[in-house]
Amino acid sequence: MSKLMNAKEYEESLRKLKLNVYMFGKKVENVVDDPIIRPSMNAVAATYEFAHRPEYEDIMTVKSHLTGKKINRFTHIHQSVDDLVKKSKMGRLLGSLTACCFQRCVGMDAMNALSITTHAIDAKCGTEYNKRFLKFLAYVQENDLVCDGAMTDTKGDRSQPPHKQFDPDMFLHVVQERKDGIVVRGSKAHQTGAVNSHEIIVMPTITMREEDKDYAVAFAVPSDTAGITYIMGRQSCDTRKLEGMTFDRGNMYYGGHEALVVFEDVFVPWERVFMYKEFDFTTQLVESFSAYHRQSYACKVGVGDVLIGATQTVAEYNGSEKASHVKDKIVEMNHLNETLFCGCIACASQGHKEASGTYLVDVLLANVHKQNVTRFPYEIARLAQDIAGGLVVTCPSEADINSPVVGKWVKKYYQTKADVPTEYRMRILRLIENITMGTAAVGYLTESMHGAGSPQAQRIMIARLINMKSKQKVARYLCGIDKER
Amino acid sequence: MRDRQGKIKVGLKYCGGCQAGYDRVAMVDSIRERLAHEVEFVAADSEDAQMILIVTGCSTACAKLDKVSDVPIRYITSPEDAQRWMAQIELINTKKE
Repeated sequence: MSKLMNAKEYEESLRKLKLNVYMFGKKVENVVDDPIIRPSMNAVAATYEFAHRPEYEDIMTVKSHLTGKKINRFTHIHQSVDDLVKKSKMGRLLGSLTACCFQRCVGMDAMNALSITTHAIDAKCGTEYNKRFLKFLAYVQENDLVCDGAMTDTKGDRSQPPHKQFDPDMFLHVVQERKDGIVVRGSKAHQTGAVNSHEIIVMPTITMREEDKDYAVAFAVPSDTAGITYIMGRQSCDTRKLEGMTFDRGNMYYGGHEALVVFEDVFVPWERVFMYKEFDFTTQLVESFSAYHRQSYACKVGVGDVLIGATQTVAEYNGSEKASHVKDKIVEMNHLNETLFCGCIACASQGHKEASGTYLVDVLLANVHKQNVTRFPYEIARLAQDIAGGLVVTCPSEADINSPVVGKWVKKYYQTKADVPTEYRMRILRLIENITMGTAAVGYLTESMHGAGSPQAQRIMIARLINMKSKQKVARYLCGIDKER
Repeated sequence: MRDRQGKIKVGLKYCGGCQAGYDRVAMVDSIRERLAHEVEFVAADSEDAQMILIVTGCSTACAKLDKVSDVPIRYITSPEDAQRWMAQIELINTKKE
């Protein structure tokens, strides 16, 4: 029986890790209980908790194609279109239950991409990467682990390829080949959920050419491997979490985090190396990972669900919910949110089987979906702030409403209705603030812009994948330029 | 096909609930209460199940059983569906009496 961990067991598993984490210039001695990091741990823990709930298990769990055992879907290799669709649904579900990034999709996407590329390299080169990868996958499934999918290098001068950078470490690369493995150096930026992960899966970030073959490397290592250091990213309003459990944090339970992960001469045994200098397979790995990860932005639909719910609630508290323009704006928010859902369901529904047996989403539609994600959450957030009113940014603190001196005035002057306590209004405003400009805006807005590739990356893919000739052919026939179809 | 208390053993399965249009768990709780003398819920994969009830949050009804079942399967996709099913069970029970 594979181990389907619960939330408590997951938390305990993290306590066993010896991570080297820095935040605000100091080493974090207790990562799990750190008040700034803990909400992000709670969000990952939710992926374990909900897998045990009967009302969610049809989405959250699945049978392993390796063992036939029940596993968490986050460790699964998609075996059908239905699996792809349920992955999209899982993203929305978890986003709607946590209102933040739950950090576990990137590892799932890395594993699915590697299942395809390792198979392809083996078929051409006679290597045994797929065998190694499947052994790693079985370990991940058996122990129900969280994997960080580390693709984004810091990239240095964007006009130069890896081998021409002023500093060779701007892209992670091999610095030594040994009999028992390789040694790598470099870093990976924006690593979502890195310090909540058991394993780090590293992949190249761009298409490599022969001169860059030392940078064409993919592997997995335990997250507490010697030589790995995590430097936590700051988030807007992050230190509110140091103020205790006040409602000023907006989301009382969940959050996300990103980190810069530094690999300073890290040893990787051969059995954990999944690509080694096969530069001509970097495009496939990057594009399949990107397609899966662009699909994964289904989570933003779930966060949008919460933001829309919060906006309707504050409209009702304010007494503005019947105003025609408010109703219309709420409809617009839902229209945008459900349009996002259409995209992530569509790319999954049109998925196909790769030679490895893994199902891959429709790459064009995944890119179209992600392109929408770079825009729509911003408009949904704008409408939320429009309806919420200026108090979303001028609201006094929880300490003020509880003050023996000024609390009476905060309660009096910010109350809208006799049956709506001022505190309720302040709480829902704080949640809107959290999602649209606080810690959760990292995930809902800027991550929507740049995560899984910045907007231009999707436009390049859309331009490449659209069948323009067939569109022109029909147009020419229908207007009489061509006489035959 | 009833147990000693005369209850039908019903295997219960939920969909994943990604955008449920109603509270599926509360609905099942209400079924449990109303049919306390007629129905006993068991796991969907239980060999004791005499029928399977799949409670889905929308009409897509995407939930699937892990294995092929040779007992009747009934989907509930809305509160109205649940009302109809409960009425059927009560009717069957009345006829038995």
